[in-house]
Amino acid sequence: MALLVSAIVGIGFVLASRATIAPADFTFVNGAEPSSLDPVQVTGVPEARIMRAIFEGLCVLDPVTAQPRPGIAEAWDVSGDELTYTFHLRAGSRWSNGDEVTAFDFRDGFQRLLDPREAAEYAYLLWDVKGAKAWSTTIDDSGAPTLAFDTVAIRTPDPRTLVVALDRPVPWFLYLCAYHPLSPLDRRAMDELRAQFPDSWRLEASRPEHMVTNGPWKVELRRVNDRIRLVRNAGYWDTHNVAFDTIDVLASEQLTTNLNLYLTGAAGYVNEVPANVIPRLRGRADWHPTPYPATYFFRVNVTRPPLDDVRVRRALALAIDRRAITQLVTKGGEVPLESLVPPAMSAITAYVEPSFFGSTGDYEQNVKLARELMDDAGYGPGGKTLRPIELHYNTQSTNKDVAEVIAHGWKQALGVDTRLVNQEKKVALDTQRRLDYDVSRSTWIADFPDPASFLEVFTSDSENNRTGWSSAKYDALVHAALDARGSERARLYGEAEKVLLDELPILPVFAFTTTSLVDPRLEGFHANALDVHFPKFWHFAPQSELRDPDGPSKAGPR
Amino acid sequence: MSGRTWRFDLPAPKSDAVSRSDGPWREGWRRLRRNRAASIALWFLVAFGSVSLLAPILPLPSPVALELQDEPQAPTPPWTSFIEHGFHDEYWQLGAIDRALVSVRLHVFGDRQTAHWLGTDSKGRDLLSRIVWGSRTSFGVALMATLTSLLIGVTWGAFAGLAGGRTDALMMRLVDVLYSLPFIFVVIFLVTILNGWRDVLERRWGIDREVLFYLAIGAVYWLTMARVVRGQVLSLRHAEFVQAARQMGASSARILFVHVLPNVMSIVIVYLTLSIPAVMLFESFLTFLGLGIEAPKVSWGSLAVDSAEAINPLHVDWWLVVWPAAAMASTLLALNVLGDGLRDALDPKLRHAHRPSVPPEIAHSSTVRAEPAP
Amino acid sequence: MIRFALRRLGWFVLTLWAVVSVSFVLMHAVRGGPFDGERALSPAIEANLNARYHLDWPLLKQYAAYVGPLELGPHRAHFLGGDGMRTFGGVLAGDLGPSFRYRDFSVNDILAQSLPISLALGSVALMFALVVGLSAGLASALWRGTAWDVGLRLFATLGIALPNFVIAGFLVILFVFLVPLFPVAGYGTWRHLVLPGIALGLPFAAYIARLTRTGMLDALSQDWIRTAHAKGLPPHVVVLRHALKSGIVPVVSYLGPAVAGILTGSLVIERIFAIPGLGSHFVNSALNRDYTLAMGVTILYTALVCALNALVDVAYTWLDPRVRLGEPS
Repeated sequence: MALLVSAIVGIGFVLASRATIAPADFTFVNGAEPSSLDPVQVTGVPEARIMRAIFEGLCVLDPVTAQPRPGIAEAWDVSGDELTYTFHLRAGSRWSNGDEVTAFDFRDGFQRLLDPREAAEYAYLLWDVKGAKAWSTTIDDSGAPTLAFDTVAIRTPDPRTLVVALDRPVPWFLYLCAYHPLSPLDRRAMDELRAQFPDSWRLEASRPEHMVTNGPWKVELRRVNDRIRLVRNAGYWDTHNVAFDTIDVLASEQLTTNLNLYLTGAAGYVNEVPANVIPRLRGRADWHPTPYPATYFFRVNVTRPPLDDVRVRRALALAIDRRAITQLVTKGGEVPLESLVPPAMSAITAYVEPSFFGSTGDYEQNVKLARELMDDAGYGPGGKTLRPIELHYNTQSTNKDVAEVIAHGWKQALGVDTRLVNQEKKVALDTQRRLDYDVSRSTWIADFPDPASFLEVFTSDSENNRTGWSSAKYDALVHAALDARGSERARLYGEAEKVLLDELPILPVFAFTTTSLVDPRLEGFHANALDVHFPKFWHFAPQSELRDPDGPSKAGPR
Repeated sequence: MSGRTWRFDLPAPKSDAVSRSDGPWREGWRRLRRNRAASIALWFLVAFGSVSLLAPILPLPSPVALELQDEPQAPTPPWTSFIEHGFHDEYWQLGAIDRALVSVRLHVFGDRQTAHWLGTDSKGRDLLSRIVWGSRTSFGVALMATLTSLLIGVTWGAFAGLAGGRTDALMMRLVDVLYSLPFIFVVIFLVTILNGWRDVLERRWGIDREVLFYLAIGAVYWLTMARVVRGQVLSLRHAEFVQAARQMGASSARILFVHVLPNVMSIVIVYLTLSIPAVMLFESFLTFLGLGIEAPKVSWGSLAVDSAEAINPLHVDWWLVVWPAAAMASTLLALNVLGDGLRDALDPKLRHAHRPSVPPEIAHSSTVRAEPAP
Repeated sequence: MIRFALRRLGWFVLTLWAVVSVSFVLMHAVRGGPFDGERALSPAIEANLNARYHLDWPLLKQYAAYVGPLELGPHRAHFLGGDGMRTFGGVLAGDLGPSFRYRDFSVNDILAQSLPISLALGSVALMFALVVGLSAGLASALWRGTAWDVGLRLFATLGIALPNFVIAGFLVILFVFLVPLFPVAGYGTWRHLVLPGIALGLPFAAYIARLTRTGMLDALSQDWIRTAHAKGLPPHVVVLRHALKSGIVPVVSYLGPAVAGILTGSLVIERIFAIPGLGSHFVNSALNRDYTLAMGVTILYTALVCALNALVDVAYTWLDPRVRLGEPS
């Protein structure tokens, strides 16, 4: 017995000591473990955060304005019709294996993104490139594309020039060039690996020792659910402006734990804090909630009575006390939202979202309106009784709180009984897809900074619609807007959104803010309208300039 | 059952197995009352149980009426403010009896309600009321789940024990195999599978989420019960009075229901008191994962999750931690003490049985983990 | 002995097969698939993904491919299309397949990474549970009825009665923020393992204390212990050498399942202390519909339980000479 115990303990300590690694220059908490480090495969927010450290596209986004600025491309020309982009790549930028980053690498990366056999979810981002959609979707029985890749208008006249021609103007194209799916690919390294491991090159390619990256850092160590250790990529063109030699990216999902890590100085940046501590964070120097383009809303199944009646939908939408939800439940300064496109979008694109379905902005007034609407629909006092509405939400504490407040409000204002149905995320999505719900919680985060990213969701042919709602007028307006330019485009978007808000297949609630905490010593990190932060700009302020008394360094040993 | 030695050094029963008269029960009751800790625990549970049952009629605030506020409200001790006005008749969908009790309460107390003696949670709901109403849910789930497991486990174990031979071996092997499935895994699967089909279940059979809970947890907990009961039945099978009954031509069913099962009841009751705490903890674990009781209904599990959220270094709203923890700990403590006392009182030989396969203590081992072995 | 071992092995294989089959059926009965997300996949892309992981096969064929290297169709049984993914040999070949959620890892990689971490944490927890549990139980038994006894038993019951996420919260506030002794969370040094080890081990310690107390009281009342006393052996020899050996028999049987539970970790503890162990995979793989990982951890757990139970049986023969191996229980 004693032998057994000491053996177990011995093993434990040997294993524990093996895991010890020196602390990194900077550590931040990244939320969930990334599903992959393959830039064409991943779609999540935590994944994107790592991608910005290990890959660099043609552009990067400015830390303050979130506008595109030169990345691997040192300059670019846009044709007068906004259809042709010519990128001039800088010399002397190298992959982590020493290869030079060339225009061919970008072409190869784009090709891989579009290749149907890669099953990349973000392939559609490039479908506005001439010929790209056709190449991607014309396939033979084995799934391979049948067209030659030179039918796609991506040209490389020389190793440092990349020319991309579009079907229609895409105002956000430069943003896409800063987005990880459009990362370059070192085909030579990949082919080598493919030859070496014909069966398992995919898994091998993502091992730290085989991963080839072109960003400021490369991957040194990966431990599932623990951390990704990044070390400087010495060949990166701007490496002398990169401050940190090593960065630890922690995977940890428990919000309180993440807050604790930050408060003890074990992490310098957390992107989300639990709502119940927010009142205690207000007034701190490191607390800056900033709106960003993501919407919290409910989908309504318009095929089910009584929700097929637009008056009922409108009444339900009016009887949500958005101010109470944002101020007393989510607490992070979220913006009460009465449209689909969040106001943060206007900070980037100057798009002004249209006004709400008759909302007066005052909850009491709105409740009155809502009651009239219900009367109208025949559900008023003495009228038909409304069956209980099922409100689906996926498991998460904020969702539960918001759902409780909405149900309470509907009961108080309209006498509507609501049954809260908590569903595990995958099941919730499945019920949405099968239109097997009444009202179901949803989120949408912009893929690119343009109202289209939101408005395209509810066109009739969109897989993401999931409300049973379709409107030919809406579809026509959205498609017309996509082909238009400038202010005409904004006008058409506005009209389309107006159609959506008149019919209300959704109940918007609020626009998200970031609730992140950032070490006050960290400079080069700015709250910006997209909540996109490229770590290459981060550095610590010199000690002498550190004046902030409330910083996390006070809370514990660093 | 090799190496099994029965030893009787406490007041020994008259025969190997107790006979069917109510003697041993009365004897057990007397012994239980002599055990001071166990009787205190019993009275505590009775008192708590009545408060919990009578919750709708008590002048408590509604456990779900929201009064949104920035931060939870600290307790107002009863001596500063005892009663206040402003009761909202707002509950989740109540059963007919509870509804009637609530209307009695409205007649008697009007809109008077107790002040927030134990404080409120972050949405302004009264904590005392939530603890009391939560106990209804938690006890309900725990009782029903345990009863489900009893039903399956006793039937399975008794059948295996009586059948004996190859049937017994096969049935118990199946139990062994199920044992080595990760427990947590099975429950999560059952809960998610059943949740996936809940719309169908609800529409067709009126089975709601709580019933799913009983089913899922009961479907896993019966394994231990089956083992324990089967062991008891095996030892009873060769007892003199069972042999005598068989010789007198009693049917198997009669032997099972008249002679065997009553004698297994003592261990079953012991098991019951020890399982309930385990199921309650399990419910809190599932709530932690978000698979637990559905809002707006409140359970102790959801209170425990709230209190875990309240523990953070910036500021601890102590009442959200202390009161639910105290309620939970004292109840589970009482149940454990009562369980121990019952075991001593009802079945003295049980304490001394060293059966290498499943000593009763071990048989209960699955009942003690907050988060059961996966 | 050999017959015992063979019989054990036979049951082990059968159990494993049953567990694989049951969990395979359970996995595929759950609604929602591994690739579902807020952003719906276009049908073509979804079909491509399903084809790559062979989720478009009929279930029985998937099952066969998962279990072993069987000839299926014109090609060898590749679980994956061979397009860059590891050729999948099946469980019989010791290959548990690729993970669906952690796409850069195979299940074997993930288990190989997290098992040592869980073992490290588990050994700390186990040590804590044994040291605290045994000494508290011993003290309680030796000073039966005193305030010590009552206090220790109360403590033991509290350890059982509170959810571990509440206990973990208390520990963090106490030993990180009030008395800064240990790091708050994360994994790296042995100091990172102390708090989660205590939180993980506490319920086990409490239960071991209870078992030890009962077992020791039982043993101390035995005739042969009285004889030993009468023969004039010093009390500590009687207690530690003779009574303890028989008194901890219940603890040993409890240790089988308990060690399996401790070593495979706990989702709650791992989440709260950000420990990258196995425990979270038990729950998360199920929630993520990560079919292969879920089956992988199940297989690992089953193997562990079987091995530990065999170990416990061996320990019996040593502790209690009346027990012989190989007899049907």
